[in-house]
Amino acid sequence: MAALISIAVFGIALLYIELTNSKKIQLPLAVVGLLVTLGLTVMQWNHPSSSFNNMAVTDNYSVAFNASILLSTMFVVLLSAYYYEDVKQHVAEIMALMLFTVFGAFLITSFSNMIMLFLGIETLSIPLYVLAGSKKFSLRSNEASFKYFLMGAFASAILLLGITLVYGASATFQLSAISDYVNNTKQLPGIFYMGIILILVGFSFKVAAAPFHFWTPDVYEGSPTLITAFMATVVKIAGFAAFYRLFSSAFSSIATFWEPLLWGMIILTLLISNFAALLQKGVKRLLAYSSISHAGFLLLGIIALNKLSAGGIFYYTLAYSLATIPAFGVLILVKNHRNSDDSIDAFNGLAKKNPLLAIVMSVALLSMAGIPITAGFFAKYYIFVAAIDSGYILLTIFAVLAAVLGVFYYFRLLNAMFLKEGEAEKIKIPVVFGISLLITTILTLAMGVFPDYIIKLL
Amino acid sequence: MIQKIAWMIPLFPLLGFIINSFGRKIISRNMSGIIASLMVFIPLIFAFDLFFSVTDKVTVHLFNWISAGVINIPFEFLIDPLSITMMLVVTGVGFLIHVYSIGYMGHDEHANTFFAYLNLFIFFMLLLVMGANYLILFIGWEGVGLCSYLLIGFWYKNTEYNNAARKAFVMNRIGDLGFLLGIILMLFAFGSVNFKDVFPAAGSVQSGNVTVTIITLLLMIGALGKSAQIPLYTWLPDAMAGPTPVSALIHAATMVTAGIYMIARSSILYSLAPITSGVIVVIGLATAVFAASIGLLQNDIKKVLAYSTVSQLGYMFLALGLGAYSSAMFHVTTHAFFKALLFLGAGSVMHALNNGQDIRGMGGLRKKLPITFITFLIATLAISGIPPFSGFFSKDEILAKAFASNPSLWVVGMIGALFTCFYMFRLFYLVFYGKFRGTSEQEAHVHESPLVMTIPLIVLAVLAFLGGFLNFPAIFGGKESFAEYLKPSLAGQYYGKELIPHQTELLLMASSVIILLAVIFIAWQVFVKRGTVPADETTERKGLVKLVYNKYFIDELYNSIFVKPYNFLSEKVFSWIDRVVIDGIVNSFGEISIICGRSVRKLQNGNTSFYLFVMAWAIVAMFIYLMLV
Amino acid sequence: MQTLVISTPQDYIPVAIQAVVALAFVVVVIIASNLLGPKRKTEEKLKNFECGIEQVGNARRPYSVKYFLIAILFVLFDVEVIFMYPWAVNFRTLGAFGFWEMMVFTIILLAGFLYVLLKGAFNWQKREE
Repeated sequence: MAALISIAVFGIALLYIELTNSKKIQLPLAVVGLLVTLGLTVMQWNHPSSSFNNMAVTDNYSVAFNASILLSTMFVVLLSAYYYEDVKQHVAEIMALMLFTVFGAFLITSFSNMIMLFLGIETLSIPLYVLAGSKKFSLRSNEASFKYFLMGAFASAILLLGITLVYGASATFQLSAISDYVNNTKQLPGIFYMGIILILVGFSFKVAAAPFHFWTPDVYEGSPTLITAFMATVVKIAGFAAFYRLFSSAFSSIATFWEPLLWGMIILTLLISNFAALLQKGVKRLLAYSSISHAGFLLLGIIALNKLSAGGIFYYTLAYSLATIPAFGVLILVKNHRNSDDSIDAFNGLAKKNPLLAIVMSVALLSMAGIPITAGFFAKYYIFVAAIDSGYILLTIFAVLAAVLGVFYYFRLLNAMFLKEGEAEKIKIPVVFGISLLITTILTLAMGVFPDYIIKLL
Repeated sequence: MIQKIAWMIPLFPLLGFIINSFGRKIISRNMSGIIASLMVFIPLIFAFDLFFSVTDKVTVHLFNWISAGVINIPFEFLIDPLSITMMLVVTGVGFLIHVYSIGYMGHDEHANTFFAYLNLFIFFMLLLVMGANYLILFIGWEGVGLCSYLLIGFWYKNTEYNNAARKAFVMNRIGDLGFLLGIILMLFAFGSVNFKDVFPAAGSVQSGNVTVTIITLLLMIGALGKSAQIPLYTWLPDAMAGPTPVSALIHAATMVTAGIYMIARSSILYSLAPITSGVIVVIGLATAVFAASIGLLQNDIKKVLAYSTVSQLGYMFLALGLGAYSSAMFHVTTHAFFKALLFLGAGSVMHALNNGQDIRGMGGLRKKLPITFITFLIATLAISGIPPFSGFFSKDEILAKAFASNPSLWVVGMIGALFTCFYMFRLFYLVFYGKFRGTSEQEAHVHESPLVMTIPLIVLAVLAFLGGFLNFPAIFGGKESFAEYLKPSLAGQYYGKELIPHQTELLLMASSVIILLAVIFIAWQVFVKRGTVPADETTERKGLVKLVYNKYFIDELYNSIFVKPYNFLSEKVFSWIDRVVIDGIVNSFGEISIICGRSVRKLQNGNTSFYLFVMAWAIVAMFIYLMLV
Repeated sequence: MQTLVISTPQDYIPVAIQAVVALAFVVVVIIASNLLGPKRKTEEKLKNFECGIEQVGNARRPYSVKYFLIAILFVLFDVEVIFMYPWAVNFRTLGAFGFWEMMVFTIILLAGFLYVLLKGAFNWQKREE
């Protein structure tokens, strides 16, 4: 509750800072806001509470995910200092919109009532529609924003319809009550099942799982790169936190019904994303498909639905965020120095002139590919162990194969950086930018070496 | 107290590595050498402290490393007599070699990188000996392999050196594969790879159990690679391409004994696998004699020492196979002293001769290099097994154990010892006696090495001289304190009554000493009195001499058995398979992926209505599923 | 608060019937008028109907974006005010807590309004620099 108020107040404060148009205090204020909120969030660790007439609960699960969301946002905000260096207007507004997104994310990591879930998802999405179009005079950015809005509205409507149908059957929005209803009813009505399907579809859209992933490549590519990094991390963390919370509490007793659907979606997601990524020339688009494929792996954690799932999903989303942010960060630098060229060829020979950037990028890519001593390895490992524990052997084998296929396209980029010659010029790395990149890289490695500290949290 | 901070021991060399690699452009070469030495000296102090305070097993728990499902692997260090012994050897000998390197590598432009690698090596080696489970051991194992690879190819501009490095890497990978499979099998069989879980569990296993036999065999393959035993030994002589301190530290004193350490650590498993032990005896003994015989005719000073190392490692394997784990560890210790000394002495000679390595180009150096001469003599006496030098006690202990098991083993082992004595004194006489046979330029340049190099030589000479008294045998009224000290760590060893009567043992010792003295005398006659110098490369060699001189053509054999057929296959057969089958499969796979990719990309056509259309139909499909269930 | 009535699909039958009837009525009327009415198509008749005045240009012309801004802001604040009706009705039962809650709501709303005002959204004459 305190964290929620804090993030909202700082968001509004940032809006007013925009009016003064002084860039000096925008970034510090945003950072302070995030730090204060992080402090308030962490203080709630091991102090579960509920608020808003028991519509939202704060437990260790939500605290862990919220902290991870704040951390990701912090890195994105730190990168923004360079990204918006030459932009005069609207920078504080963009940060304010990010904080509002985080506000929505907080709601959906800790909801215990479907109304709260819907409110959270909308609060999360609407600022994102605007952020996607925040490069006002870029046609691509406008297109991305509009597409995202259209399809997002469609998905929200479907989710809302699903919530309504579930309410229609169970006459309650409260998760625990729905769970009781499921356990105590012999013959569940058809609309309840329809409701579950529609909710599943709504979530699949938000986390970009096939066949509801179509918006992702277009929106990720069109949006400003920094915003893409923000969307790819924060939305994914929050989306999966909510996804797991809902399906593990309210619908866990009828898992046999929805798990086959998820099974099919996982197969489809892993297939489509990895095959499509193989042929991509643009790095941004490649990362978009990589993000879809990670959604596929994460769904394994939800389908597993056992005691390893929560920790596995948390570890995976954190590892993924810590890899994605530096990857996009390096992309921003390279793209800026190569006349907005974000193809893989733009990375040719990066290791020669900019070893630091190449190393940061490599660690990030290796982590995404799941190579040991990076966090990504244990992320996949824990998710796979969870899935095997629940008996999804075939699915796990398929996922492992998909991961192997994934290694190919990540290595295309590594190959370009280390083995190819390119017309290289030294890229100057701004201080804050470099430090953020380094910290994420170190965290990725640290998580890869000491996975237990994170996995034990949940 | 010291046990609480024991986890810091490996951190110092790691710190040294970090400082030296990041500061390689700032720190001067000498400074870097001093930092590196210091970072090995501090762990040495710690290790001494542990030696005096720990007599049993202490487990230092750092954190839970990997826990998922049933697998639980903590990051723990095991401090017990066995690991303390290895820590003392690694840091003690390591420290002396670091100091020596300050002098030896001082002129090399990449000296800082060299010290960084050395520190990194010490770090991994400490991880290897301190780890409380097979996984940490394996990480250390891979790490030292990596450092060895980097240091063999340290002078990377020479292609041959790079090839040697690659050969070492490949041969070790073959062994590592076995090791890894062994660990995985162990995980399945015992459900754990922690020493504290596996060893007690092994106590209830019957001797000769098939699983344990397979596990031990697989682990043994790893040890064969790392400790350069038949058939995976050929990399070690080639590894002499690295700088001499590296040969002394990695390829004589420490890394190559990792295999011995690993088997001694798993003594309980090996004591339950008589078949494996038998295999180890055969391999060890064969390697000991075989490598020693190659050493007889080598002319490169470092190659002789390399084959000698292979041979001595063979003796250690013999001891392991006989269940005399403490004897093997004892020989590891004394061998570390005298072999490091021999290598450093050889380095000192090479330093004096501007890197000349051929003993045919040396001679008469005893006046010019007095300290090197004396220390080299001590080491030579020690390795030959002359009492009271350290090698005598450790080697004789192994041979006595061999005799107790089967007298014929003793005979074969003794032949190897004769060879050792002969080639060592051949080397010694050819280098230090007679007339100088090198160029006049070299003669003018010859000088004793600086103090920073000779002091480590002297210290090592003292150790090589006195090291044997660590385990003074019972027949001379000693208490065999070394073996007793290791008792808590070696659950698999038989600590019982003497197996052979004292008279027999004395007789064996006396006869071996007499034979060895005779050999030394013969060598004196041949190389000093008659001044024989080995023939140069152009001379035609015949029969057995040709065979031995060319190292039994093992490299050529491997070449023609593995490399040539492989090349042939790859040229003729594989090229066909490659073109038609593999390419076909890969291409079609690639084509399929590309077709898949294309069709997926076609789906992604940027048309929002189409996306919504697909989504709507997907929902319809889900509803159809709902109707079906 | 507890609702014990669990609704079943059967309960929705009257609603469904009403929906079908309503839909059917529209469809039937359209079809019927189409079938029954006389049809004489001339060019004049097919033209867009613009209050009897001759058609001028295309209807899809760009407007000033300010129209939309004002319109959206109007909708926004208008909708927010709707919240006050149920609050006013329940004002007594909600008591002081309800009052302060509404104050917080209003302050946030006013903050938004102030922001929009300061941003110059209502400044019709404002020119882009």
